Amino acid sequence: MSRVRFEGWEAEITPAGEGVHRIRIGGESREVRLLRREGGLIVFETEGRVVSAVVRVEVDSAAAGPRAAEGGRAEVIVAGRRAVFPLEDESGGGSSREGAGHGPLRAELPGTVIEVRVSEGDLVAAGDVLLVIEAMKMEHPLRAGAAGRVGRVRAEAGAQIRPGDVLLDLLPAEEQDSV
Amino acid sequence: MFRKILIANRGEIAVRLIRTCRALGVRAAVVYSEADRDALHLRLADEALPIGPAPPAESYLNADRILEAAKACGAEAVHPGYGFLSERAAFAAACEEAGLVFIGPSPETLRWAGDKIASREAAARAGVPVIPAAGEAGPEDGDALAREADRLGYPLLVKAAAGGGGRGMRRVEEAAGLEEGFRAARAEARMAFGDDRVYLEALLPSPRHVEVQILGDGRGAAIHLGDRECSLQRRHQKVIEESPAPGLPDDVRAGMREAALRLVRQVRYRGAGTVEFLLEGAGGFRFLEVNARLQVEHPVTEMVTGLDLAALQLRVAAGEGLPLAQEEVRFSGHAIEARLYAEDPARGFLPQIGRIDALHLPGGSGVRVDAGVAAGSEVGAEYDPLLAKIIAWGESRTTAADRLSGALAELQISGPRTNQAFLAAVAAHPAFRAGEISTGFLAENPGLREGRPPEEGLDDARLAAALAIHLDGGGGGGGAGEGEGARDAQGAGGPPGGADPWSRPGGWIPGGLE
Repeated sequence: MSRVRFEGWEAEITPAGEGVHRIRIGGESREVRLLRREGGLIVFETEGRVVSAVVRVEVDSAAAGPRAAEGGRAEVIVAGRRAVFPLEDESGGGSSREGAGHGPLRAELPGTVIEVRVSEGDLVAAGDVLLVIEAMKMEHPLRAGAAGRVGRVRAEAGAQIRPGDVLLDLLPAEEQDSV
Repeated sequence: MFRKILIANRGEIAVRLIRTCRALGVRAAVVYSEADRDALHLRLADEALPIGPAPPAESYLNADRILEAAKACGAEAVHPGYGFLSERAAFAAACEEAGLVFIGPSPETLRWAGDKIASREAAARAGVPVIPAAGEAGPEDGDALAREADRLGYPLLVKAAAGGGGRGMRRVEEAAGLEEGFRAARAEARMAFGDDRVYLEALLPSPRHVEVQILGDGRGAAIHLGDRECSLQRRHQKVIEESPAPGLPDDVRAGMREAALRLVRQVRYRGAGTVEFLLEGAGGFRFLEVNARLQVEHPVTEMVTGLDLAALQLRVAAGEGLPLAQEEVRFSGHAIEARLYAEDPARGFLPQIGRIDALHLPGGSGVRVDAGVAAGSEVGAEYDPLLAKIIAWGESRTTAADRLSGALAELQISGPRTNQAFLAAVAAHPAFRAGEISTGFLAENPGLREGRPPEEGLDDARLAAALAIHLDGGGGGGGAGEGEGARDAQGAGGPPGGADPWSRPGGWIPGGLE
């Protein structure tokens, strides 16, 4: 038996024969027969119905340990619609833990920095625009995911950026900058 | 008719143009950049010519390389598609100088259509109502500009003469921000377009965006192919379009079509084009701009007229004149198009990249899909993130919307995130179903970006999430001896899509919620 924990609910999965799993969620148990797995696509049969879904799982921390339950989410597209299930964070606190939204702000796409709106030491509120980047011919404001204080600003207007480049650091407001 | 043409584009529009060439017996040569060696359009073409590195400026925007390619393959004409070089007067002129037919309007037409100030003047000369504007002469007299702005009223827009597609626009809320807005828009326009002319335009509150498809012979004759509703926009980018525009009073519809024809006949427009209007309430329409190209949303017009607009473009370009008279254009039913983008609606519509690792495109009665990708395609950051257009036709708007909803539910795509769920949520929304739409609709309904399923769909989604994580070895064991729990949640191969840029320690929210 294995257990997958989400925020507010969990699933117990027990093998029940070749390609068949028994999944118990919230006291209800379903038999599920896997029909196909291709990339993120998963097709299964349950209670006489076929369900096709595309599942994407992402974890919050690049340093996440070997377990699923490190905080993150599963995103499921089924019948064209999208459901998001946060994974339970076993280190405690889930996505609401202190410090969520802090850390290095990294570029996700290659592009150009158009504008840097903050400087080191600035206090920002969640949702404040920190920088504006241009990627794929469009401008994208990057906003603070949480209130905090701006640490070192590494991006400058006009600079070319690549995925993974650190643009700036966002620290909890009360934390002393050790750099 | 031509024996061979060069298609100077990529993605779904290149694929779509190849199909027309096949039907007409015209050989289709395409160009491709180094990033597109495995792209769908070159697999389907008769010939494919490399034109350089991935950045558009070095390939799809490189007029010299494209003209060389056209000559090398012996093409007689060049179809520019949309975007890239399609509306560049200098490119159209260079084609003509090289002895190639440019499948599109004349360089003169492209010049005035690409200049918002010049096209407003042309529309006004043709007796077409225009949006109140001021300051076209520039900001030399600041006080006079402020008086003009007061006359237009706030909020207003500062627009770049050379802008388009939502670029080069600034909204000014009040008089205090006018000078700064004007200055910033000028700087932006200079950087983006190399042309810093800007002007002030009245901001219509949540107008509808309706456009008329026209076809001209270049000698002063023109017909219209009906109208399209393009009001569903986010950040000035169209998301869902349809034809005909729903619920327009007959006199407004007829008036708009006549106005569009007056304008394009006056300028002796050649080929396919679109005259865009903004509509206030149930009342008047006002000229917005001319798009001197085939538009992304042209398939809805094809579905209701049964015509192939690209074939009509080729016929006009080949000198055959207008292949049909106005009274031969028959309108039937209703068509709606949804644009599938690699983007994340929940995070400011940020473009997404990655490999498409599973793909099933929908079909069925009245459903057409124009896709530029296939399973295995890489979606890169170099180009527009449009993946496919899903178009549904029905005898009534309701049937078309039902078919579109069905097609969006049937679509399966794994890899980069897409706006599929957002489109499905819009297509199911009661206001959309009732045809109550304006350009403010998507901003006024931010919940649509989540694309959440109805309650009964959540059980299936939970089962899918649990099963997928379990199969990837992500489930924690129930105690000792957990044989299959010791891998991370993403499985051995990482998340679907491979090159996922989402491993970020800090949660942050890209994109604006404007």
